[in-house]
Amino acid sequence: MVVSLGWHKHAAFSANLSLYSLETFPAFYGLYGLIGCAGLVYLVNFLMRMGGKKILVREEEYWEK
Amino acid sequence: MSVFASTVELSTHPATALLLGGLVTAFLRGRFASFVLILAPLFGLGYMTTLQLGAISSLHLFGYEILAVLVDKQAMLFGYLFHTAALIAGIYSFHVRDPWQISMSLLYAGSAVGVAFAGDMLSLFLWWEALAITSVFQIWGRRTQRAEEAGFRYLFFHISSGLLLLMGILFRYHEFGAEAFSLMPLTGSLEAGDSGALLILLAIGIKAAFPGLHVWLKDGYAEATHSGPVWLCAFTTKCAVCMLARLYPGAEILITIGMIMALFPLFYAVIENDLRRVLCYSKINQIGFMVVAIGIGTDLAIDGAIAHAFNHVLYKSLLFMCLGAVLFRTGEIRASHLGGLYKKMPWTAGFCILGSVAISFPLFCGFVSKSIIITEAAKNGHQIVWLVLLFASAGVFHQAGIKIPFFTFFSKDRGMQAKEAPVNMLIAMAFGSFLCIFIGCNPQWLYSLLPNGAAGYHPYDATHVITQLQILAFSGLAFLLMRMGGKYPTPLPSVSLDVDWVYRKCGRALLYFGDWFWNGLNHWAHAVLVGGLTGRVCRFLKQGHVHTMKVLYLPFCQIGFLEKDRNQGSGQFAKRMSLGVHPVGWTALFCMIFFLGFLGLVFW
Repeated sequence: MVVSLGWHKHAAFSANLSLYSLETFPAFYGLYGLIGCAGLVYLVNFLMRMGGKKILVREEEYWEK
Repeated sequence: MSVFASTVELSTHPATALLLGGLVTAFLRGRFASFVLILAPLFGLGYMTTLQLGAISSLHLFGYEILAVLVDKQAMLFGYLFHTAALIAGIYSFHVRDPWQISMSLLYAGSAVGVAFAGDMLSLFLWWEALAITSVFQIWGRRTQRAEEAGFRYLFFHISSGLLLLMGILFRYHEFGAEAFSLMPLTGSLEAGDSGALLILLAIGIKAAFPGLHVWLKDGYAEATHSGPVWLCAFTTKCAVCMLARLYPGAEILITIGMIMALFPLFYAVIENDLRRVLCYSKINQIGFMVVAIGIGTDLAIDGAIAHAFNHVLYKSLLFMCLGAVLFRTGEIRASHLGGLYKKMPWTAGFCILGSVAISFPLFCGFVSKSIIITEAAKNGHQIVWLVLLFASAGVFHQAGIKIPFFTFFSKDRGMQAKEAPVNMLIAMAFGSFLCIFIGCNPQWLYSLLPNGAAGYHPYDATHVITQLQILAFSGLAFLLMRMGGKYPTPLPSVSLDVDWVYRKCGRALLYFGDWFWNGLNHWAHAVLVGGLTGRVCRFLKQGHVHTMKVLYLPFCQIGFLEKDRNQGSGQFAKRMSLGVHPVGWTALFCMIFFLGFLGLVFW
């Protein structure tokens, strides 16, 4: 994180592509990983609250019933 | 991709050592069989080193010439991979004493080698079916009702895959003749709407666990024996990747399919309680990377897909070995029931951590191949794909790389009695770990084996290393924060429905409908034909001559003949007719009628 703030790295995309500016944004990779993974967990929690306990998961013996 | 320096007729198939080993172990017992389990892959590896690029082997069957073996760089790489995987799995399964399981394991590995070296569609089909049949014993070997049922579901998918492959081949044969048996790329045909090419893609898609067709993977692996997934994870899906790379390089639809594969398992990995199923989702996610790379289709991307298939077998089998050891020692694999095992199984815990970091971290094998794919997505301007793969890379470390070791070894101690894994298991895990680190530190060794030599790609530049470390460190931080904040879902005894629900519910509905329709039709047909029509016909035929005589008799009675018989009544008459006792007058009359009729026919 610290390194990426002051380090002018070689971007994966060429400068004419729209993701170039996003990719070269300081700490982009770290923030992307953090927000992405946290967002995934929040999404799961949200869906579980919204009836996911019946649609996504069931009790262990569900298939045997 | 095939570069043929020469054409040499091979006398021995590269899978011979494994196949012979499989046949021999069916008759051996105890440690003799276990030694063959290790020796057969070693002999096979030795033979592999003598193969020449461009060598072929053909045979005649049903009037066709089958190209049974075709040695090219891709086949050689997968051949090395399958033999190495069989060796690791063989060491790991050294203590197994089930002759069926041992024998089928080697035959399964041999079938995978057969797929890798298949020279045409016909030989591919034969090995493809062998792969399906031999692999299911890794599931049935557990000998529980759940395993038996899961095995049948697994077999259903894989036999369907074989049938689809055969249909695809036949469709293409109908259209193109013997040219259809060639293993040349079908990307153009697929994009031109050729149904044969589509069916073959679907057949491979089942084995590659395409979205919606992936149920067999998490269902079968989770119910397999403790050593079963170590074998299963090495061959079936990798054969599919091998064939996708050979037949569909650059097929754009694969990019979309691969992206979905890389994304959706992350979601299910969060809610899944069975840790081997979590690994299965992680496996689908990683195959997604390979499928995307094949869809991108450049030489480097194809190399990336093949290299990642190679590395994926190493670290995934290492993780399956660790979980298999836990299952073997504790009889438990649910995250809700495990925890604190690092004190009792420290070596296994260490190898599990190594396997987890090998998914993505620099200096481990996963990094040197995955970075090729992500870089190629960027280089070819696939911006959305790049974002998805980056997220998938972080997500799989978050959901599998951290979740599995944490909930198995480091979460709350459940007081479970366990001891360290057997020595043979630890040796296999150590060997797998060594290969993960060796390839991670010497990627050029692997790159030199790739069909295009990875075109001078260097994974260890500052950009790759730092960006990858950042994304992994922060996905780890996300897990830590979520866990500390109580937001990360606590594993609960449950089963995730996934698309299993569709298959099982629709399957059951189909069964009920089939039962209602076909058995209903059967009952109706029985009632009408057997109970009704046949009975009537039988009864009629039984009394047929009586009825005939009645019909013939009546006109004579009405004109005044046979007065005595007319007065006897119908019952008496029927009885006499059924016994064949007729009045003399009757007989004389009919003789005369027939005689006159005969004369009429002769002289008319």
